[in-house]
Amino acid sequence: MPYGVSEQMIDTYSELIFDLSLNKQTRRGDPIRNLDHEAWLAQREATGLNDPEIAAKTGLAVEQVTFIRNITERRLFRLNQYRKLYRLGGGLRYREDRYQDPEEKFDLSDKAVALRLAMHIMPSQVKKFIAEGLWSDEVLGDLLTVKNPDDPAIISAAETVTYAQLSQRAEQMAAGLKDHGVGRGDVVAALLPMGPELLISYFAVAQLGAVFLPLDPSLSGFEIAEYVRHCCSHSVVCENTTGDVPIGAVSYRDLVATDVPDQPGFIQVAADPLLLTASMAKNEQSKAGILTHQNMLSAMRNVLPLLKLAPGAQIDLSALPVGGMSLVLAQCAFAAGAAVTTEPANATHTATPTDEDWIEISGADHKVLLWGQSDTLAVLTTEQDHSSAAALPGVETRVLGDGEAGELQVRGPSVTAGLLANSKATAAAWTADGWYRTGTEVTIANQSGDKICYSIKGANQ
Amino acid sequence: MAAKVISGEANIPDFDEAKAALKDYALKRGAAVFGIADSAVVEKFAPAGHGPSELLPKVASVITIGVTGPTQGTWRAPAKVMTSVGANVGRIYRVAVGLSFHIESHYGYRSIYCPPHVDPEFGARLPMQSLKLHAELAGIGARSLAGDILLHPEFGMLYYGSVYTEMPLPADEPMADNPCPAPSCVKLYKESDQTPCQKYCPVQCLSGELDDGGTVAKMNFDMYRCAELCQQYENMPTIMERAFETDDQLTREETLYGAEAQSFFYKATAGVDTNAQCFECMRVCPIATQSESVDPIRRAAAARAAAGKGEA
Ligand code: SF4
Ligand code: SF4
Repeated sequence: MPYGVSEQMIDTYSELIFDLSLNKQTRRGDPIRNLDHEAWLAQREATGLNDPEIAAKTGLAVEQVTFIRNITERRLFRLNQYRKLYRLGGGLRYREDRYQDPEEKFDLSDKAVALRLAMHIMPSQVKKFIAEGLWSDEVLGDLLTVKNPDDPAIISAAETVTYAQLSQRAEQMAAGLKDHGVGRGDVVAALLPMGPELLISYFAVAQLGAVFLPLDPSLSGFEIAEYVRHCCSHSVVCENTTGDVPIGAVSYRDLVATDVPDQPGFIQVAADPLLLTASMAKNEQSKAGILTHQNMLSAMRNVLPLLKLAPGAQIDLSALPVGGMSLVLAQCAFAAGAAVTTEPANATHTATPTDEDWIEISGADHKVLLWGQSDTLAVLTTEQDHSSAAALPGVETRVLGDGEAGELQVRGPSVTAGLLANSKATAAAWTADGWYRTGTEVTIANQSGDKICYSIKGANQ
Repeated sequence: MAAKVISGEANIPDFDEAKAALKDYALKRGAAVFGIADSAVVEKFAPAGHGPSELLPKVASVITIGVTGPTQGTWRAPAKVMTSVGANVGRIYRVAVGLSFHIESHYGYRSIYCPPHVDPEFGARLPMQSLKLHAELAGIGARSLAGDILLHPEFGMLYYGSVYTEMPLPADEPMADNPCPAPSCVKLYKESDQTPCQKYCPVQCLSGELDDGGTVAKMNFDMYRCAELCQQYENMPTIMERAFETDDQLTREETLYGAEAQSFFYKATAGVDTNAQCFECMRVCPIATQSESVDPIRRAAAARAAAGKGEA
């Protein structure tokens, strides 16, 4: 017990001593400059006393006052206040409402931490993707910086949403989700069909640094409940919150009606998780692939040139199940300044699932086929048929099996950064040397130089 | 005139002449202002145990000098640059220590350079002596709304140093007027209830009121908030304690080796003179940054203009 001071004494005296000390100083008028000793004496206490003066006032020993004062100061002290200075000067002045403590900025819930712990990318792969320009600092929100904000971005039977509206509603919804308690790294599910609500939700969740879990409304009630549980979703955005809705349901309409506060913008980090793609693993247990902004944007950059989308084009995504691939195609539309539509009538491009893991995108005078799974996104492509698929840029492929047939294994910039799954499923998903096992049987159709064409038989063939 | 001779053959000076000579000495070595406070008056206003006689029992005069603050370019620098090059205390030491030796060797009166440091009996927050009090009583600074930082109407924000001497020099008076708040600050206060320094302090530790005449009615300074940002007295032990307490290895490593910890340890070990203040209150203060003599370029122009008039 230093100087006979107990914790109880600290409790009793700490505020009093602190307030009397130099830590809080108040001066009335200008008594010293005016040599007004009486006025100065009258406010002596308010100007801040030293420890012997406080001791004389409180009846404590000087050592006790010094100890209690120092302990009080230490308990009040917060590390890293110096950071408040980092963006000041050179004409910039401090504004409390613009400052965000970096520790708060990266404050993660336990569930968000668990999701991050499930991500592990091989260092050699990251080096390669960055060296080859396949990964950059681009984030999903960058797609909304378009030249013509009044152009249509999403067209549905009910409305046409311009890029400006998409951006504004995403910001409002992000504010709504934040008010609802969603933080960085939290999972937000969306039980919505392809259309404005789904895509606005996607951008809103990204703005918060949260993770989007798209759930196709055609999933069974059991699957939805299981995926929501498995992915530890903080909330499930639904059109309606009445009737048979999952636990954690929140109304899209309520969220998007939120006022945007004058606060620092939420930051998006390219290497952060952006999307979860939930599915049933072969062992009948749910799993969810974790895809980062870099995964989603590299998939988009690979696919974009194949689609031949121009500003003004409309790509109909209504036939695709809601998931990673449909969102990649929507991103392609936004990157091209085109629009996503759910109205086939005026569509210039139509995306259709043609077989297991195959999507065909047809335009006026061309078609392209993409092959990929929810955890790999598009990794192979062809303009012909299922027997001539070649790897997209940056994607490495190999076949593990006898001779020219066997399981297709892939590595590439769009392949999941990790799985939220039971340890068995996770262990089964990658080989020891870091290849992702697709579980799909392929045969090598032909090979010239480095280019290998695979033949993939779908379930319907 | 009787004087206490401590060594050799001392000249018994005329104290007015001696004061002028000492001022000349100080200004030539880099002081911008020079003043003398009556040690008895300082003693009266200083808290018990913190008067000049604690250091020099037979002290008669408190000499106080001020050196100018940062350059005009520094005022415009990013805050983290400003904190590392804004302070200008090295020159004080040269002038004040020089003065104390000069008085002893030249005039034969005991003198001591007044330590600008904290009183080791009480930790890091209580100063041994108040240099502010000396400068204020000697009329080379007046308390401002920015946490009582002293301001000078011509030289703005200065750094102060003091010498105590047994030499009985004629004392100066405090300033007749306080330059703070400046007219533009009164205007802003009337519009927004805050003066510039209050508005832009990053930890909002300044508040107060002006009276109808635009002078200070009340100045509040939450010094602990300023200290938390600038001086960071509790930083090192807090870093260590946090590192002991956490169960997470990465958090421990960030606490001990992260950017904040490293830059603090760098400052502490390299003795970088960065911890005095953050300068944001002074950066927006018209007196600190815009007084004529603060700006060497304007000062030189004014001197040339004055010389021109003299010639005419
Ligand atoms: S030095 Fe910085 S923290 Fe201290 S009062 Fe001035 S602006 Fe505020
Ligand atoms: S900005 Fe300067 S002059 Fe204005 S009130 Fe603050 S300290 Fe005084």
